[in-house]
Amino acid sequence: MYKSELKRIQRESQSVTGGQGLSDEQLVTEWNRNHDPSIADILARRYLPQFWRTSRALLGCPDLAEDVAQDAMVKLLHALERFDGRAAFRTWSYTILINTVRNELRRQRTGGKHLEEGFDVANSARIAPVDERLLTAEARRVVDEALQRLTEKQRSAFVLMVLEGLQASEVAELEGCSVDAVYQRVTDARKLLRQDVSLNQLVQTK
Amino acid sequence: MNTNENEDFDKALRQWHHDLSDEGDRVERMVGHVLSRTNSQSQPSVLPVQNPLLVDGGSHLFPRAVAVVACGVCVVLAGLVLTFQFEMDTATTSSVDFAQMKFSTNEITQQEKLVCHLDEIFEHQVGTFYQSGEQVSFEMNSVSPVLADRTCLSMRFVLQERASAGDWRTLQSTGVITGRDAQIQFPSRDGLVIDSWSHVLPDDSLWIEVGIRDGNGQLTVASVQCKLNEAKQVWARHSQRQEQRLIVVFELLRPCSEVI
Repeated sequence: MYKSELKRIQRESQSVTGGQGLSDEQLVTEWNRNHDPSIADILARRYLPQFWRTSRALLGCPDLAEDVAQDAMVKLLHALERFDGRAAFRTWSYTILINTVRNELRRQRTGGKHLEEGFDVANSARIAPVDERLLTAEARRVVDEALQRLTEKQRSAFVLMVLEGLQASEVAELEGCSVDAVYQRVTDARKLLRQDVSLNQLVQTK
Repeated sequence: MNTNENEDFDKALRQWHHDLSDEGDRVERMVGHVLSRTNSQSQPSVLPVQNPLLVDGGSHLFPRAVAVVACGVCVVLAGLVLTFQFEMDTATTSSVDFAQMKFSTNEITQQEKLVCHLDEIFEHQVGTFYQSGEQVSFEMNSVSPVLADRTCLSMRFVLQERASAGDWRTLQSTGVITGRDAQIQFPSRDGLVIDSWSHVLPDDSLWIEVGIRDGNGQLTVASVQCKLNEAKQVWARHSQRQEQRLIVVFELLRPCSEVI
């Protein structure tokens, strides 16, 4: 994107203050009423950070996670008119994100990179952008590696429920499983993570 | 391991996790990209309207000329392979029951084989496959191929009309094979332009949203959740003496590794 365009968007977003205090559902209502671009701006700023860190944790690759988070956000904005309020907006938005992540995981598998079967996490970490600060980059590599050693289901349940703070019932809906299964996956995931020596060292220094 | 240890462990990980969103520059850049894409795609048109044979603009790895020639060959192949031709496709006569719109087992098997043939011929470059009447076409997409070795989505869109509560007649039936998450657009014979966004949900049901623009530019939108191989009306409109409706049915195709 050209810098001038980015600045223009930033300028426009700075003028957006009226909708900041609205709930997600109120923003959707406003959007459906007048398609005010500032509403899209607020939702993007509210949800992209969540989308980014969740997809980063699930995919283990920062650049890929950025693309996936953006794709999911674009889909969400295009689908706003059809949000019917039957589910909470947050659950609805995570449905879009998780499906986008799953599509990416399937694409990776067909390309020979199965995250659960020999995915080269160390190599994946090396392609992280150089703009990450060195000290935190090492910590993030350790966290990424540990998460990628979990199965896809364990990782998804742990990231969504423990790291992102979704309710077990919301995760169960997203994962298409029972609440008990979610708790079991989180317990199994935590057990495996606790066995990770590097991760434990990192946690103790925190 | 006691509860406090678990809580401390979770808390530390959560801290690392949430530190990620402190990358202001990255988030700012993403917001800019998303808003830019959203503005440029105010009409979610990603597929050709006049001529569905399209090579993705970002597909530098697959020269257009080669793609066009190869597509021509493959259309012939597909024509031979496709015994799943939509029987009701040219039917401008009788009414069609919802049950008849379902995919037969044979039809699904043929589609799975076709997808795998295309995938092999075009070296995983096929994005979306269309079939309407005797026309077969597909979109190449090397950036994000969707018909590779994974579960694909086969959808059938049936546009029907009737006059004065008479029998429904099928104006058009279009088959689309694409990924589990797809945005497509195609024209109908009645001057309508149909946009569709489909998304397979975790329970393998399909959430489909359509935007239908008529010749006057008027847009109506609708959405519906469908079960596997169950025809469902997704949109309808009534004028003085005429009704129109759009029905959709979908199936999931097995990945090639399970087909061949």
